[in-house]
Amino acid sequence: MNLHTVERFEKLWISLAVVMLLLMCAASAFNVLNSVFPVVRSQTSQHVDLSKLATTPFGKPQLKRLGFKTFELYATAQAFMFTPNEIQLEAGDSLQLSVTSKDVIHGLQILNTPVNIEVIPGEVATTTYTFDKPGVYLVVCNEYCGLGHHIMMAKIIVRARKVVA
Amino acid sequence: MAVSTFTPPYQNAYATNPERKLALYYLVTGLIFLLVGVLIGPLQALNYAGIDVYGYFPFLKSYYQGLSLHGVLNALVFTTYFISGLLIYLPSRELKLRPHLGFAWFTYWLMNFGVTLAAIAILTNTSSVLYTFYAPLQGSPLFYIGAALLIVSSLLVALQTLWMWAGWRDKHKGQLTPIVTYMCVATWCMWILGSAGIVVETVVFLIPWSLGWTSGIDPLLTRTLFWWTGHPIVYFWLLPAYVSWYAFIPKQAGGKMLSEPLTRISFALFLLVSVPVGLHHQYTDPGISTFWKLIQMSLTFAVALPSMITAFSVAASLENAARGQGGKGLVGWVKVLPWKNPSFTAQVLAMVSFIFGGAGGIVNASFDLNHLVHNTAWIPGHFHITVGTATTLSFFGISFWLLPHLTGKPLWNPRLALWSVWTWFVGMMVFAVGMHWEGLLGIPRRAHISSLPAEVYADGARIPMALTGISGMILLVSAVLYYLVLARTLWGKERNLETAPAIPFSEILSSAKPVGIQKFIDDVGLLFWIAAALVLAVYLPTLLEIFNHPNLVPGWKLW
Repeated sequence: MNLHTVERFEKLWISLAVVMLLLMCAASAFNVLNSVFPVVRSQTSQHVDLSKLATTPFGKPQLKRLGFKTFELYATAQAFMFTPNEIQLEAGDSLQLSVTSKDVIHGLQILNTPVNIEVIPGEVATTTYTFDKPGVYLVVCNEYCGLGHHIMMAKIIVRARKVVA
Repeated sequence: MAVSTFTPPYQNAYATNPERKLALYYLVTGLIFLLVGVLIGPLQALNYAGIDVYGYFPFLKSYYQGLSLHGVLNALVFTTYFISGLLIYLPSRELKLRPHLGFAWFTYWLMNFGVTLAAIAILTNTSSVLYTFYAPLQGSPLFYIGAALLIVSSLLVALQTLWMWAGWRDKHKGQLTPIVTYMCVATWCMWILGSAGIVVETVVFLIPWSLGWTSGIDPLLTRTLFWWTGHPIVYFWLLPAYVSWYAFIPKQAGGKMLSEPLTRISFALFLLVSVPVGLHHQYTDPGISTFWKLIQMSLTFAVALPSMITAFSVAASLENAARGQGGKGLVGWVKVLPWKNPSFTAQVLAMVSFIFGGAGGIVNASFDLNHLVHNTAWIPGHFHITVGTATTLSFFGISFWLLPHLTGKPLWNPRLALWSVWTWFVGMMVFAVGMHWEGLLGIPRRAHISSLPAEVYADGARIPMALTGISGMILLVSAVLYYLVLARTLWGKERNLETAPAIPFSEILSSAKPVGIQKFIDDVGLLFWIAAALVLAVYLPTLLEIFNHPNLVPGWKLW
């Protein structure tokens, strides 16, 4: 093997690698900045006092209508359940979800959607997702939280849109 | 016709090079810990096949205790021991220097002490916190003290190696550090910087908290400090395998290292960019700004570059070796490589595994795609083909020549060793397909899913679950074969240092010269400070923000 040939291929490979990595990174950044998927938002200073949860919106964890097809939900996670553990929406509804944990770190993943949140006690994680497709969405805890980790689940039932003639 | 073998008495086996005994003890101790961890693996594979066998193992109080043992022993303990042995021994032999053995043995026993404390904590089921031990899950102080001692011991090995290197440099001014030592020193410096997060997390926060000296803990702060280390630790696991791929595999393949300058550049890049990337494990965390997550994402893509460089260099050296021995054709040259050599085959299969592991890593690194795989079964799928194969199978491959080299005892049954290698690779590939697939179906990681009714996950995941279950059995067979070969080698009766394999230092085709960029990157100390500045630049804003808005919560024991 000619060392010169190797060197040329080496330069070509590295250039291709750099271009590929730049493109992939840029594509991912683009998706984040354009909210193509539900990014977890929160302000670092936006904590919630776990001993005074009842005085916060987390004290009333239930679905609240904000507008025509937009809803807000303050939910809590704890060992080993989500509260509320079932909500009902209609296809096309947009849900603004804010969640905290009452005890340890949990996960909140809505299966068959890109919603995936690290739920940290005292920290408030907020994300927004629009449920276009009807169906029953399983919500699972995906961060180890103790013996009951695998049973910790909830449900989001999205019914088909009623078309009014 | 009787052939007499020179068998020196036990003491004299190490008299000429007593550091060999030190390396041997590190490697074998690590492999013994791995055996315990590996035996729990099949139980977990069956769990992810929907089969719950934990009732048959009453000494495991829960799936989660077993998982803590498996993760800690395999990912933290085995790796640290094996790597400590390698990265002090190889430089000492290349530089022809001896580390201070009294200090070195003290460090080895300190590491043992730390692991013993942590093992007691996990085995008594007081610390089923998994190898990530996120607060406010609260383990016993023994666990955190033990973990801290394990890490600190490895840092003592690092310092001892750097001390040797500094001494060599003093007497060889103007010369570049020899290549193997350069790679080891760069790895140690990267680890010193990378381990800072977990050292601060355990020593400043978790240990006092577990002892009851502080009443609350900030879970986001400790988690962020963990992941400061959590990413560079994977390079701590990977780079020692790269040392062998770059410096030894060419010789084992019958060829030479092609480009020494490029090898050095790749390790310099690893030192510079392995650490400031930990936030890509926290894309879904609240309390950390999207801006800093994006900055660290960019650096994560940057650190993929030296691995891509390595892929080219190592493949080129294999092709060069093969063509030099008559290999022909666009891909036909692969056939003339020494596939009968278990050490060679293990490491080349490890490289193949890393192609898939690295690709999956790029998915994990992408902020958007990460959301589809975070904390699903995809993640263990990924790391079993990276640390579990690229690293571990490479270490098995290295052990096939290194243990004979250290002890003078020949490798027992190379054919069986070869079988252990192929079954490990196939088992891991099947495991990876099963688990990546399960992850995409939304099945969570670290979960005792086999105790759930089949409608929840199993009914929709029959094929990947079957694959995962089968893979666990293949890997069990592989482990039995490997440890059989290991045990019979170490307890072999024949010892002959004169015929024992030498360290396969490869000749170099294109050497680096002590000028320009090469001279600059040979100053590993300077690179360390540049790397440190970069880490502080991308971490301090986030850490200070979290620290200035404390969120103290109580601890919980939920197992």
